Amino acid sequence: MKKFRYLIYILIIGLAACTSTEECGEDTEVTAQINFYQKTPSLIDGSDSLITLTVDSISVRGLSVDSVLYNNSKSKTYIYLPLNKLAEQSDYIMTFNSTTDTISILYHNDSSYYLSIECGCIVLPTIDEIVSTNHYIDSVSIITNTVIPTNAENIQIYHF
Amino acid sequence: MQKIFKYIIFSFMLVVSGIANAQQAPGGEPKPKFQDKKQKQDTVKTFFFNSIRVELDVAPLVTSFLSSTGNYTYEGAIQASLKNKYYPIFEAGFAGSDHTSTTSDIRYTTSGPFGRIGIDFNLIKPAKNAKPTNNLFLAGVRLGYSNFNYNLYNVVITDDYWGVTQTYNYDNLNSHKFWFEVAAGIRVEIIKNIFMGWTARHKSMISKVDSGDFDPYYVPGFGVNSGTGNWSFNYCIGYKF
Repeated sequence: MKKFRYLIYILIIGLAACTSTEECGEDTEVTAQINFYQKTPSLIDGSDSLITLTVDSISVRGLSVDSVLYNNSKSKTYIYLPLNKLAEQSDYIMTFNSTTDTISILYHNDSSYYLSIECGCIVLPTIDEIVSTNHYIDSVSIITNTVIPTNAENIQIYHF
Repeated sequence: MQKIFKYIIFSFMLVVSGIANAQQAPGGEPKPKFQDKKQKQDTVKTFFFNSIRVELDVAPLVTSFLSSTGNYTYEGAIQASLKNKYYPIFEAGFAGSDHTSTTSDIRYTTSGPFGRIGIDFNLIKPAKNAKPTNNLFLAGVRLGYSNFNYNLYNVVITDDYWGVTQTYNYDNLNSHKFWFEVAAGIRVEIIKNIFMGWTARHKSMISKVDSGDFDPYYVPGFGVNSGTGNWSFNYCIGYKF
């Protein structure tokens, strides 16, 4: 009978070991990182050299969205933009100091990327094209097409 | 690998301590109780093929009442005895799960059959001149396989900033998985030819999926597919032919 008791102990220990609490420990925030650069033409060969640009004041919001992403934020060298997960184009209105530009990011989402039952799915866009007005912005270029949770420079915005 | 090795040693220690305690006669010397019982019987002859044992796992009868996880497993096994030393085993069963995540609200359901083949070794070495015993202290390995369908409901993609949301349901996704097990357990002959005992095992997934693909939350015969492996416990009643 004593033998039985040990079996039951072990059974209880085994069951206790099975209970676990669920949590999502993964980064599910996916935003495109945009860095600002100042273009200065080189006097020697005419090519441009890039210097990191610190924008004194910047405001950003999505087109047709009321809430702002950045509201008069000071001394920014980069910003993060959330791309609409269920669309293939996201438009933003950016005000640099007092000059306003509109920027459109065109992208595609292959399929949702499954992390786990605790975290669910995330969407990883691939940027195809960027279009912008040119008031403050001189030009834009895509550095890294794929937008993933680990922050990497996706887009560069140039200002003369 | 080191981790698996640690588990093996740990499970052996559990088993050994269990047996040692069980054999401890109150206030006396440790007494080989198993062998005492057998002394009345004739010597068990060793042939190449000795016997076949059919077992049923009765642990679910208890655990399905205690557990609230929505997972269930029913299984049985056939084990042969070769030279009273090698015990090839075939296990088969049916398992399923209906689980809703508390963090993501995703509901996962599955059910399907599974099988395992493997071999155990009897680690009881009878002392010289002692009557052989039918009790077994087994340790061995298994290879498990399951081919099953599963469903994922209520997979929600929400975009808080742009204020959009969409729900996806995935029906009848198919998967098949291989896994490896290290098992140890005891079997005690309680009445002639009727055996009782338990097996503790550790399971490690072999099959991998590409990142981003749906990896089944629960695999029949394996359990929750969390990436760290699983412990499981069977309590068996068997009959020896």
